[in-house]
Amino acid sequence: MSFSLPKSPLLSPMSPIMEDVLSDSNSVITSDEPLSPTLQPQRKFSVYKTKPTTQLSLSVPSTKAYSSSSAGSSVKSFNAISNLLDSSINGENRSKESSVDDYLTKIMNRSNSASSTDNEYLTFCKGFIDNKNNKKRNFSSEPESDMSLDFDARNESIDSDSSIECKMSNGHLDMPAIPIDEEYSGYRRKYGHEDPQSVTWSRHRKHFFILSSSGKPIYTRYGDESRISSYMGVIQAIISFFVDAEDSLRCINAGNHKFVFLLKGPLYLVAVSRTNESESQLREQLNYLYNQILSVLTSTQLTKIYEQRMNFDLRILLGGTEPFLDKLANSMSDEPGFMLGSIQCVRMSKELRDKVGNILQIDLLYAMLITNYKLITLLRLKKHSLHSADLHLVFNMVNGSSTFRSVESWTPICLPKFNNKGFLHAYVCYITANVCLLLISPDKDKFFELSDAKNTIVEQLTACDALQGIEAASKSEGYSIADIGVAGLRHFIYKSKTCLQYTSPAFLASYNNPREKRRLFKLYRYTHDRMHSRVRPLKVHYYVSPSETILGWITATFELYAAFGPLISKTALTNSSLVLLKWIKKEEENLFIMNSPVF
Amino acid sequence: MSNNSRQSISESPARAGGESNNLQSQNNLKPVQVKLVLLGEAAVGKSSLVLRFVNNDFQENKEPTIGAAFLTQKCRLEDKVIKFEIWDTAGQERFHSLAPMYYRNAQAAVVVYDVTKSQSLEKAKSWVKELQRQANPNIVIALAGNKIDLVQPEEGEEESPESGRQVPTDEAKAYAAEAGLLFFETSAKKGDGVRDVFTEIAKKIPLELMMSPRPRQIVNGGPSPLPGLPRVNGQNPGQSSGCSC
Repeated sequence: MSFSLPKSPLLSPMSPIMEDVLSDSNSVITSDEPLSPTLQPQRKFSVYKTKPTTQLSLSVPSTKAYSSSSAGSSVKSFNAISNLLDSSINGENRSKESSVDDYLTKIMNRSNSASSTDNEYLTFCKGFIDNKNNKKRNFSSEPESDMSLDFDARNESIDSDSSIECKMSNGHLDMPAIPIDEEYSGYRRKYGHEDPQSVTWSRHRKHFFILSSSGKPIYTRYGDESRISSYMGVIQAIISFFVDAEDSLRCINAGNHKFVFLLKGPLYLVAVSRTNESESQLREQLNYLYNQILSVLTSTQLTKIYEQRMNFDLRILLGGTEPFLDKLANSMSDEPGFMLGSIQCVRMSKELRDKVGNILQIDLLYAMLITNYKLITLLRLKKHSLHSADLHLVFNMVNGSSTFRSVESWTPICLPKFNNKGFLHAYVCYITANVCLLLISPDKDKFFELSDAKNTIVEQLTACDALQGIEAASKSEGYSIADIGVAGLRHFIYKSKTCLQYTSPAFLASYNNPREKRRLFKLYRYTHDRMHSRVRPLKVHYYVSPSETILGWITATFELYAAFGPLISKTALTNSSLVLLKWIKKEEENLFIMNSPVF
Repeated sequence: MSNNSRQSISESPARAGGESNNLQSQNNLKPVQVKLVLLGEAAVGKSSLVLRFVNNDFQENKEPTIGAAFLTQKCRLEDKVIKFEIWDTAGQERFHSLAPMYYRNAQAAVVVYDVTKSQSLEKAKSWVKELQRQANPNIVIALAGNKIDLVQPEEGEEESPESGRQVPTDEAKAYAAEAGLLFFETSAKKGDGVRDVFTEIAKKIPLELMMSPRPRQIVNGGPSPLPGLPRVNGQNPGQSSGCSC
């Protein structure tokens, strides 16, 4: 890969700023080229590969990983195409005289179209890895640099990398005038308009990308997926390089970043994270995202679509699903339920729960009352238990959209663990401000029947005062650690393996600010990962950090993760844990749904 | 076929006016149920129109509807009480195949487009075609161009050509007249024209024809999950029009 300075007569009276920008971008390219091990002996890259059939994991932690895995050569093979593309695009650029805005748009379009793949890869990696560098550059250059000169340079240069430099050197251009594509939904996502080449975009701690096996963008957690199609192309190229060798790429570790790949037939899912989550945890999260897609399409439909047209733009069919994928991506970061493969119930007295359960008796597949990601009660048809992964999808759907709040809704939903080939139909209605009634039936014409059933249910719940009871229970933050009265205990998560449910007190006192909460959660995640490591799973894990002592304890019936102060002695910790377990045993019937009632 | 249905739609108000006099005295207390469906491209403001009509409310940046939402709203028209049972459908492509379930028995449909997106009018036209081909032949269809607040000029100014409007009023109006639709331009955000859509629909539907046969339906069909809706509309408009001839 070579970088040549644009030799344009327009550039001869080069402004100092321009010079700075160009020389800088030049240096960036040589110093940050991750594909060439010779230039970068100090950077550590390891590629984990595995044969899908044998499940053997081969780790190549040396600096020569890239040359041996020959990802570099795969990129090289794109040079020819990209050069071709570049020249054609460049030609087009020259032929038209345009305003500054047009230029910007073109530059963006060009770097968005799958043009210089190799350089894009640089950008891609650099965006994540070399954050600091970018920031420095951003601050060192003048916000109001000579724009016209920059654009002339763009006109001649075919390096999309430096177009970023240009944009960055113009602080006020951070949000360029690009026509925003709102074709699929009028809903504006929080991060939907973030510029994929800005520092704010690459600074996000965890990215998710979904693309089709032909490289078409489907979803990105941040920014607009159509504007990162070039990254998607690179991801597709890297993956298909390994696919060609009948191998599958699982994970790339690059500095603090992990790139985790999940290949599901026609869909590729990628997580790029610097959150210290383990590969298997990230892959689990990708699985949840995949299930979310199945829940709106079913696997039958998905396979059929791609059998008929390999390069189908799935966004046409997924339109309106982005808020759910966003919501899911967010809640996976702070809901332990996803990591533990279990769900949480509202703590309420067994009598009340039973009373509500009796009222909910209707002839159905599933009926449930839920509130803010917590289950109040669930009724099911005999022999049809509901998998926690499906429940997470249901929770995510109900909480992911405000449109359910004021109306009665009727929507098809596929629960992949129940049956990934067909749709069920869900009746969703909030019966109080916080409590949502969900009735699931396989029959698509049952809406009015269920609507009538809802009226009966609400009447009966009101008649026996249960409605107020559950509304109160749903409003409360949950129980506090003080209620339990265990010395030294700060917080805990207890998962009952028999019920596949977990319980956890409200985040109080020191953990009620988001940063502390995230830190604690990180410790839980670390402990969880250590205990579930495939190589050497642990039964007990004791870990002292500067601020907490974390105990992890797994038996045949439960998993316990408990946080204590950093100075607690081991005996005190053991005693406290035993007291905690005793309390949970005593409260078991209120904390968990022990026997889910059946119709 | 489509010609016939169009004619019967345009004739119906006259007939309704003629017959209502002798029927209204006995029926004015009981609400008349009108099943209405909203169709149109994603993000044109279907849910916002309903929200304005039902709750007189507006939400910025509303999430897309999932599946379909069901709402009811009662309103008075002259001396009758009308209960609108509204199916607000999702505009996304993947829900298209479910639409017949909602318009199958509807007496009225509001097909919504966005005046700032010409493409949404094309989608609206295809919905109208589908309705005229497959829905109840007497269905009253209204075409509503939403989001006019985005193109409305400031006080005293002429509407400038670069106001963002992509669908001129005249063009849509001409289409509506040709296809036999009611036509409105609305703003769910400001509330302009929203009530008119529903009032005009109510006026155009031959209400008394729907009121009289209700007891018969219970005799025929026994308890129905959709009170007054599914069977009545399939049969009665046809029968009653036969009577009036």
